[in-house]
Amino acid sequence: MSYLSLEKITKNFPGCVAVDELDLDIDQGEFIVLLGPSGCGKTTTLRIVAGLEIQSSGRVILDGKDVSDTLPEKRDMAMVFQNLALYPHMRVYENIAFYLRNMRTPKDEIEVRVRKAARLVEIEDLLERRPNQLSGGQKQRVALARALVRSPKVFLLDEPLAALDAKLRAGMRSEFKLLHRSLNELDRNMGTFVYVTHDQIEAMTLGTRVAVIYKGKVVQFSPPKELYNKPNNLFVAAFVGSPEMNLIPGTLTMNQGSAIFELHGLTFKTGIKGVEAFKHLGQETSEVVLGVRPESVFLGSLTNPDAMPFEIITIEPFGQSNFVRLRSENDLDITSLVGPDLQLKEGEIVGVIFNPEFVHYFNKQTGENCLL
Amino acid sequence: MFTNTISGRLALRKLVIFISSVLVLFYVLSPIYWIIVSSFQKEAALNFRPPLFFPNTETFTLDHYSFLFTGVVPADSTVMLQAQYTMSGTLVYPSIINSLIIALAVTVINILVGFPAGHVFSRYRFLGDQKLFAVLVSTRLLPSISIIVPMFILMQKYKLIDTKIGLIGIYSAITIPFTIWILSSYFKNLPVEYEEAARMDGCSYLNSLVKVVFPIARPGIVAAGIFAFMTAYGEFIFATVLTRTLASKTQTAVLANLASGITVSRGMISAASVLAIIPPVLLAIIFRKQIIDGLSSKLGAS
Repeated sequence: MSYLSLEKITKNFPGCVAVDELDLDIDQGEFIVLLGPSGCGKTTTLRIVAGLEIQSSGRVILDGKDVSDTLPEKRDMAMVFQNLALYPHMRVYENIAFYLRNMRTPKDEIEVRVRKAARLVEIEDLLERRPNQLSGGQKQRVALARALVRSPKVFLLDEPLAALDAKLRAGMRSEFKLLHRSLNELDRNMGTFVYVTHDQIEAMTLGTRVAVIYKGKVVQFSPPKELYNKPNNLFVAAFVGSPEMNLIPGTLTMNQGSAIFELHGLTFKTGIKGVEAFKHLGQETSEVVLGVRPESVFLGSLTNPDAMPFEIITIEPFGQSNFVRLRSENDLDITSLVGPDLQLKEGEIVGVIFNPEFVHYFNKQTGENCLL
Repeated sequence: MFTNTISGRLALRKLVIFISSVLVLFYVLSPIYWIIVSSFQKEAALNFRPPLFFPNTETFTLDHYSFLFTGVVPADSTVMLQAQYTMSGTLVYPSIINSLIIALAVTVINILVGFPAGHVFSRYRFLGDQKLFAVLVSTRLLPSISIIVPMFILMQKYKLIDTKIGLIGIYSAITIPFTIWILSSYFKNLPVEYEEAARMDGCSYLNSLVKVVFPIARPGIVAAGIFAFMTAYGEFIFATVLTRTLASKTQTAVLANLASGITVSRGMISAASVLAIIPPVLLAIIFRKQIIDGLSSKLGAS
């Protein structure tokens, strides 16, 4: 029995379905990230868990109890909002103490707990300030302290880093990770997080498991590594990973026991994976989409018999690697991520090889990964 | 000479704004200056041509003000004035107190009703919400005069003629729709996350209104409250028709009375006017920050 379950949650807004029979099971102590493009229903899902939005149908089960009809103030969940929503008329101390005061906690205990939460996010010297006297990062910490001062059943975070600049975001990201770990070490399984973001780097770095949401449904729910290495379908493949995976439509054919992928007049020997994919499809020739991440696209000399000729269009040095855009004779564009030391020139024709181990095949009709 | 540089154009702009501000201020303040000057001058001095723009030792008097509080007509008035103002027997001072009590009560009722109602209209969708809102707001379109007869009958039936409570009820009914309207549009501009955060922090709906929404929305609430106060304080038609004695007569009714005889003391009317505008002026000074914030719909948010 999982700790927090969403069962067939549906939310209809006038004229659209925001969440469509969404199921999700979360264990205690997990850091779950809901990842998806804007408008996919992830924030609505979080708000339904919080009780701020009422689902059209379906149930929310928390710790064995059905909380579908429980008011938000009775669910014992802490939430950090995208715009942080610090109460502007209260000092930082009062902001953090607000929940405890509402619960009629004794004064000296409030003092102790507020200071402890403030220490955890390093804002002890800001307690007397007002929210409008704080920088973006400080506000973020206060919002976090406001959640940490409690011991809620679940922490809900709605794009909490969206308002910060890139550098601050990276710092806060690792702090979230530390925080989650320390909460679970201190007091076993005290920190169950549900974190909404459209930023895949946040999702990959923070989540113990990531639920990719698309059009109100969970399309893949798995640990971040698996999300990257074994995308369930075309949407996940295209959405996860930066720079993006190359997706090339073509046909897969069997020829004397080995599978060959044909794309725009080029052929690629697929090796064992292609054979497996072909078996799953079970037709003589199949329309598929080949997916290969830029780091699995190798550039070499044209002398290799398996190499496909591509012209280098642009080279963008990233520092730790070079990002190369390539174009074939038939105007097929792909990208590659290569080491910074490789001597390449724009306009040069090079031989391209896909690492057959890391190539994915997706059914063109359904978008499903043929190998899963 | 101004227009050929950017700083010159800015200076010109400032100059234009400054001059027009002075003109507007002159337009607004000169009548008020004139009633203040008139209220301190003897009746006879008000007939001087050219007029005295500042009272001198011969024309200065406080008699008009003493009339407001004691009802004693200045001894140097004409016989006509003496007779008229002694006979009418109304004191100005208690009527201003009446007006204040009524207006403050109306303001409090407006906020008590308009705050939660405005919040519900801005945040929740329910069956017929827009129609109900339209009906509420459209009551503002009814001229007072059109409902004065039914109101009179109603008041008579409940024995509320010549009572403060009767006027408080009517004024609340007139002002509340407008208050709801102002507040609901104010709340629409207020991020919903504040109240949601309060709910997550363990507040019930009502608690979140009191502890979070009310303090954050204070500029809007003050502005709405002041509108209600001004409407109630300055209302004339109902006050004239539904009051008879100083138990409920408001300053508008009494002031009008001062000016409606065969002859008129301009000094006394001026003194009464000065006294009557003091409460709203004080109110505007005390709450000037919130009034400006509320009118410019600047949020109290960070």
